[in-house]
Amino acid sequence: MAASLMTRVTARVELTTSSRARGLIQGRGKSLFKGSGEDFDDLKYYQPGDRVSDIDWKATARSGEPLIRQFNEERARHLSIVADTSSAMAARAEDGTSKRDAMVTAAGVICYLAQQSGDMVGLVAGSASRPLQLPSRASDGHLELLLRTIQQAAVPQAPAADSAWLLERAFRVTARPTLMTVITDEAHPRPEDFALLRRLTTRHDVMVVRIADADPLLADDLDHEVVDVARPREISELARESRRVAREVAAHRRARREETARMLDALHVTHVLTAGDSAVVADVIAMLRAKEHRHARA
Amino acid sequence: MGMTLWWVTLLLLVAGLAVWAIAFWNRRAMHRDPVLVANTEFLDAVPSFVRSQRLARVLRIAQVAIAVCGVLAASLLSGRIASERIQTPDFASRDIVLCLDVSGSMYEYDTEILQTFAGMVKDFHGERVALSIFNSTSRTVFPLTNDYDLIERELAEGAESIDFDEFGYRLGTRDYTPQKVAQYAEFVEGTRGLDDQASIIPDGLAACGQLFDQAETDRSRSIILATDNEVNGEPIYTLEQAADSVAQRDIDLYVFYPGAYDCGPECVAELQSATQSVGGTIYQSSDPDAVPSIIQQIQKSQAAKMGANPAVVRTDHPLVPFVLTFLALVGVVLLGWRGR
Repeated sequence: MAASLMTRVTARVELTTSSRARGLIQGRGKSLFKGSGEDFDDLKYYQPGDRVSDIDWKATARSGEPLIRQFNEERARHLSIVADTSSAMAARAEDGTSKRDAMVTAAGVICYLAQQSGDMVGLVAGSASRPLQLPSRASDGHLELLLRTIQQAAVPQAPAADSAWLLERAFRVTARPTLMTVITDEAHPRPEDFALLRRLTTRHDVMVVRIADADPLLADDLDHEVVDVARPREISELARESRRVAREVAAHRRARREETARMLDALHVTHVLTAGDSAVVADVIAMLRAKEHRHARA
Repeated sequence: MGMTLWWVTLLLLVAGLAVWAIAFWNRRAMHRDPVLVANTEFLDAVPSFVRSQRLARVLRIAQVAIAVCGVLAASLLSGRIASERIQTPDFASRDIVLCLDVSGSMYEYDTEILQTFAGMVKDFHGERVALSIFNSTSRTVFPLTNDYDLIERELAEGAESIDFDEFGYRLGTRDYTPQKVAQYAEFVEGTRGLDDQASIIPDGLAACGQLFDQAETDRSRSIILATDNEVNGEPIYTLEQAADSVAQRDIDLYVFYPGAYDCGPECVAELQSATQSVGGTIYQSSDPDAVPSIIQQIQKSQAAKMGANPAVVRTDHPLVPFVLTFLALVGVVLLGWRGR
């Protein structure tokens, strides 16, 4: 891969926000994460090796000793990404792109915002048989590693989706309160994950990014077969062509989406359903803005 | 019924299998790059989808079945199913008298001869057949006739009736139903006109020679005589005389000798010399199952004698495989159209 994932996401976010959401991420953590970033913990004596730009000149003048502002690491906001890296995420998204790319981009947007405000991002992903976890770090290399980990985990050979395990795992391994972004697809979290999610919201500020699945009938593209990534069953052309099947399938999917949306609304979890990689940057930023407004009102 | 070009059939079948095998091994590669989707479990809860899938599956199975039928039918068709018949044009002017010794020692052979002839009758066109049986006296079961229904019926009945082990029955080693006994008794009725005598072969043969009519017409005449030549009484003719009288009437003599029963080699020798002195042919076999092939040989030698070159006539029977192939083709096209 030529360009790093972070670079590409940064370019896309900046392209999007330059025109539509500039206000959202101006300033170090000003808008997205209130009270973090700019706050310094303490002043301490300058030690060789400290950054000269961190010297608090006024305090130095007052005390006569070179003092530097110390931004307490503990004070920095912790973000965490809970990525559903099951086989389902290797499938096609509603807009025809890969759900995996959309997931990496969504995670990239969060990482970008964290990078802008110097926040730390951790990762919870994988499956019960092969859990993946990255600690909270802020470095560029770490963010790149995080995105790459997600990208490499979500392959068709991965185990099937298990949102209950993932949410449980996220709750157990994330000790401190974080701004948690769950990235999954339209079928998750399931209604039966309600209790797990609620427990997660007691400790964390949870957001859910859901990536819509491609229509399993794909009626306008009969030249390609449609195969479910988790169960190799062929969907016959007869079924794909039928208007009646299309109608019933659409109704089923709508009902499923609405059910999940209702559950998330009931938990006051900010969530967004995005069509895929083409829309995910704008959708995630829109979600963050909506969350901001809600916070502003609150 | 046989296949003229059976190897073409074989070739086509092998080719069909090869195509299937190649398609089977490469079935992954033949998938048009599939689109991966996820979370389709809910489809099983969509009734119309389940119905469509089931219908598609039935159609697919039907398609495969029809295709297989089509390939089979096409292979059969290209194999040229044909029936072969040995046609001998001048054979029609034959008169054949079956002259059977129905003494107890002959019962298995007589049955075979009658059955074989009953099976041959349907291929006859113009030949006439008569059946005469003798023991101490002769009885004509039916005279020379070309009423093939009658011939077939009589021969079949005769074969069944004469399938009777008289010695075994008398000794009590074989048991038959009363109807069977009555049937046998009725069939051999009139062949025991002389008391204490049996198997008067020369007289029986001479009587068979009397059965030929139309002496003035140019017909081929033959007697198929089945006997073990164990004379048990006082014949009027000697075997030589009987054979001569037959030969004088320009009758070909074919003798079937099943092997000695009670008599020594002198019986065979007598039969052989008498037969050969009048230019007849003698066949020997102690196996009743050899009778059909012997009768075939008689047919052939007779045909050769008459100068009739037996020609093999093949008749193609393409109708059934053709219709099947056609229907299968139509079915595949229709179903394929539907699947598009």
